[in-house]
Amino acid sequence: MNATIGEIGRSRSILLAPSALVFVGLFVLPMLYFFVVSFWQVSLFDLDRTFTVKNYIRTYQEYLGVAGFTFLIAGIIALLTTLIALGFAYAVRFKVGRFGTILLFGALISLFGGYLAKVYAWKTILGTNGILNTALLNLGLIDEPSTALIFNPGAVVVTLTHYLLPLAILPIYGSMRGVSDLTIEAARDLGSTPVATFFHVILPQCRAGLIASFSFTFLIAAGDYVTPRLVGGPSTTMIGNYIESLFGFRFDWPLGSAMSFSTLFGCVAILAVTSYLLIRAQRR
Amino acid sequence: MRISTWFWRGFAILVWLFLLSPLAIVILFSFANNVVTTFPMNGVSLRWYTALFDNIYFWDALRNSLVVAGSVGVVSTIFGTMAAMALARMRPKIAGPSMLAMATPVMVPPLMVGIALMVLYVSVGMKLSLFTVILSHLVFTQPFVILIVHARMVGFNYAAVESARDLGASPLRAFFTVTLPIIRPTIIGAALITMALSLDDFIITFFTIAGGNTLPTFIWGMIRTQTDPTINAIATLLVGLTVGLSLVAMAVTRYRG
Amino acid sequence: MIDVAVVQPDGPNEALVRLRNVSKSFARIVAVEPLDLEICRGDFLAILGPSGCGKTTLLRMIGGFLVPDSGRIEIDGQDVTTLGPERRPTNMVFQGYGLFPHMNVEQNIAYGLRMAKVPKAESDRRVQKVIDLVRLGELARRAPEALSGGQQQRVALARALVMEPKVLLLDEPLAALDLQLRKVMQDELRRIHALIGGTFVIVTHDQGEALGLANRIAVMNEGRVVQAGSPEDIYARPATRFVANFIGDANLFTGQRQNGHVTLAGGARFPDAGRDGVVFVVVRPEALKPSTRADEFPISLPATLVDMVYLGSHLKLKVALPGGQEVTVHDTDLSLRERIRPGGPAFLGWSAAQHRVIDEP
Repeated sequence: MNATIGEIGRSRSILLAPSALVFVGLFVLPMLYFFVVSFWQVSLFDLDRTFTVKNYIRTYQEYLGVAGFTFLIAGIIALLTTLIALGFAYAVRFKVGRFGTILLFGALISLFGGYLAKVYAWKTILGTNGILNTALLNLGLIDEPSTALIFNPGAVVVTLTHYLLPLAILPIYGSMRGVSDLTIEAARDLGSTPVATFFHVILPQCRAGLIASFSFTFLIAAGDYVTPRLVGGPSTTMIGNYIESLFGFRFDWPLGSAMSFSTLFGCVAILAVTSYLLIRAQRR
Repeated sequence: MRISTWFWRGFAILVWLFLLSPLAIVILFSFANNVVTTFPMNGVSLRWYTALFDNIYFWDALRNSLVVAGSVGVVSTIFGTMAAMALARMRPKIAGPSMLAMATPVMVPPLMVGIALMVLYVSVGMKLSLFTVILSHLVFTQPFVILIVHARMVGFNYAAVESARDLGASPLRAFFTVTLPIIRPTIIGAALITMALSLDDFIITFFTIAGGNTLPTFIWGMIRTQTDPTINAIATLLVGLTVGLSLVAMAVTRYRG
Repeated sequence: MIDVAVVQPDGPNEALVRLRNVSKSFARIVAVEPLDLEICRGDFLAILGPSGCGKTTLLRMIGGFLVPDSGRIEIDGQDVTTLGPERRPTNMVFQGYGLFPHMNVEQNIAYGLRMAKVPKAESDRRVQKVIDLVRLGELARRAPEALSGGQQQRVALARALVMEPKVLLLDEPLAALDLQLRKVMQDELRRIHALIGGTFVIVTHDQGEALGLANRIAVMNEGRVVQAGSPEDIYARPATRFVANFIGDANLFTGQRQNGHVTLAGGARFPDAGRDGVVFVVVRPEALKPSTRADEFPISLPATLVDMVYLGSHLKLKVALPGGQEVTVHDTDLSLRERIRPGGPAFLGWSAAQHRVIDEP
C-alpha cells in the first residue's frame, strides 16, 4: 500500500541497508576496483599504479582468437541449451499431461546436482575407459576405445549444456506457464494451425524467458574454466583458463582484469545485438 | 496430432534422461566395487565410503562446508528478507529495477566475481579465511532470498499487519507476531535454497578461501590428482545434501509445479 | 476552498471526533481536499461516496494508517494527528477482514488484549463476552480459513469490539458478502450498535447500506464532503445534483428561475425564491403521480407513457416528456393499469412540498 505512518517510510531504508551494503561493498566496489586494476601494470611482482591501456592492447593482440573461440563455443552452448529448454518446456506445458510434473521435478532436482559432480560425471562417461566407450565396445560398434569422445570442444559443449539446461528451463517454463490456454484455443478457433499457433501465439509470449535463458547461459559458458580444463583437453582452452592462470602462478592481475572486462563487455555487446535482432524479428 | 504428441513425449523423456542419468551414474558407482567407473558393475560395496570417511581432510572439508553454508543461510536470509520487505512496499517501477540490479552478481560469470573479491580482500589486507568465503557467498545467495521472499510479499494481505497495528502492536511486534508466522515457510525455503547454493559453489570459494577446503574444493583437488571412485562417494554426498535441502525447501514452501 | 460539514448532534451530545482542515494527497493526486468533520458520541456515521472519492483515505487518517498533509485530528479532546494506529482509541474492521491466518478465532480476538498485556483471566472473560455478542460461540477454536465470509466478518468485528474502542471504524465491511448475507450483517451491526452503544463510522459506496445503518450520513465526492446530515435530510433535500442522483433514484428537470418563479422545460410554472438563472428540480419517483388531467396536481407536465412494469409491491412506469427526456415513476396504485395505456396521452404531477430545487452552475 501507500506510505503509512512515518516510521514505515524511515524503516524502509534501514531494512534495505544490510543487503545494499553487501551489494555495494562486496560486488560494486570490488568490480570497480578490479576494473581500475586493468589500467595498471605489474613490475617485480608488485602493482605499478601508472595508467596504461597496454593490457587491453595485449588482450586484443594476443587473445582475440581465444576470445572469438570462447564466444563461438558459448554461443553454440547457449543456442543449444535454449532450444532444448524451449522444446522441453513446451512439451511439459502442453503435450505430456500428468507426467509434466514428474519431468519438471526431475529438471529441478538436477538444478542442484553439484557443478563439479556433473563435470566429473561427464568425464567418467566420455573418458577413454569410460561408460560410453565400454558400451560401444560391448555392442560391437567399435573395436577399440574411441579417444574422440573427450578432450575436444564437443565434450565441453555437451557438459556445459547439461549443467546449464535446468537453469534455462526455469525462466522459459516460467513464461510459458503464463500463456493462457484460452489464447491458444482462440487461435485454433480462428483457423491457426498448431505450428502457426506456436510461432504466433506461444513464442512471442515467451520472449522474455528466452532472452533471459540465452543471456544467462551465454555469460556462464563464456566465463567457465573448470569444464574446459577437465573435459576440453589442450585443444579447447577458453579465455577463462587464461584469466584463471593469470591470478595463479603467472601473477598478472592487470592483464587478467583487462581480459575479464574485455570478455564481459564482448558478451554484453553480443547479447544486446542478439536480443535486439530477436525482438525486431518478432515485430515483423 | 497423435504423432506430434508422441514426438514431444519422447523428446521430453530424452531430455529428462540426459539431465538425470549422469547423476544417477555417479550415485550408482559410488556403491559399486569397481575400481574404474564403467559397466558392468562388479557387485555392491561401501569401500569408497569407508575410504572417504578414513580421510581426515574430508572431515575438515565437510565441517568447513557446513560452517559456511550455515552462516550464509542465516545471514543471507535475514538480509534478503529485510530487503524484500522494503522492496515489496515500494512502487513496482522502482522495486523491479532495484531487484534486477541486486541480481547482477548472479549474472556475471562466477570467475570474475571470485577474482574481483579476492583482489579486493588482498588489496585491503584482509586475510583469506572461511570468513571471506562467507562474505563472498552472501553476494550471490542474497538475490535469491530477495526474489523468493519478494514474490511472497507481493501477494501478501497487509490488512492482517494493519489489524495488528490497529490492535496495539508496534511495527516490530506486528512483524514478529503476524508477518513472520505467516511467511515462515517461504523464509525457511529461501534459507534452504541459500544453503544449497552455498554448499555447491566451487569457483568463488576457490578464489576466496585460504589453505583449507570446502567439499567442492576438496572434490576439485581429488579430480585433478586421482580418478578413483572415492570421488563418486563424495559427489554423491554433495548431491544428496544439496538435492535434499532443495527438496525440503520445495516441500515447506509448498512449491506448485 | 474549505468544505464545512458539521454533523449536528442529537440533543446534548458533543463531538467525539474532530477533523479540522484535514487533507491528503498521493503523489500529485488529491485524495481528500481540506475538510472539517465532527462525529458525535453515540453516532453511527456513514461516509458514503463512489469509489475514488476519498472516503477510505479519510477513514484511514482517523484510524492512524495515514498521516494527513495538513490539519488536525482530535479524538475525545486528544490530538492524535501523528499517532500510529496502535496508540489511538480507535479500532478498525478492514475490508479484507485482515484476520490472522495462523491463529484461531479466539486467538484472533484476544490478540489486542495480549498486546495491551491484559491479565489472562480478564482477557478470557472479555473474549467470551464478545464471542457471545457476535454469536460465534461454537466456532471459537476454528481457523479463519475454515469460516464462511459472514463468519470471518463477525470475527473481524469481535476482534475490534473487544478493545472497547472509543470509535469503531468499518471500511466497506460488507462489500465482499453476497446480497442475502449483507442484509443479515446489516441487521447484526444495527443490533450491536443498539446494544453496546458507542460511536461507529462506516465507509460504504452502497447508499442502501448507508440509509439502513446510519443515523448520520456524510456524502463525499472528489475529495470533498458535499453534504452531511440525517438520512431523511439527505434523501428529501439533496444539496447537489450529485447527491440527488447518488442517493436513491431521482428525476431531474431543468428549469429557469426569473423573478421568484421557476419555469420548467415542459411548461409548468411555480413560485420559488432565489437568484435568477438555471435550476434543477429533483423529484423522487414515488412523488410523481400519473394523471389523465392537467389540473389534478399543483405542478403538472404533459407526458407519454412508454412502459409499465409490475413489481409486486408497486408499478414502475417509464414516461417520456415531449422533449424526449425519460422519467421514472413508482406508484402503489395498481389500478393505474386499467386507467392509463402505453402510448396514450397523460400528465405527470406533484406538489411543491415533494420536490427540491437546486441552484447549480
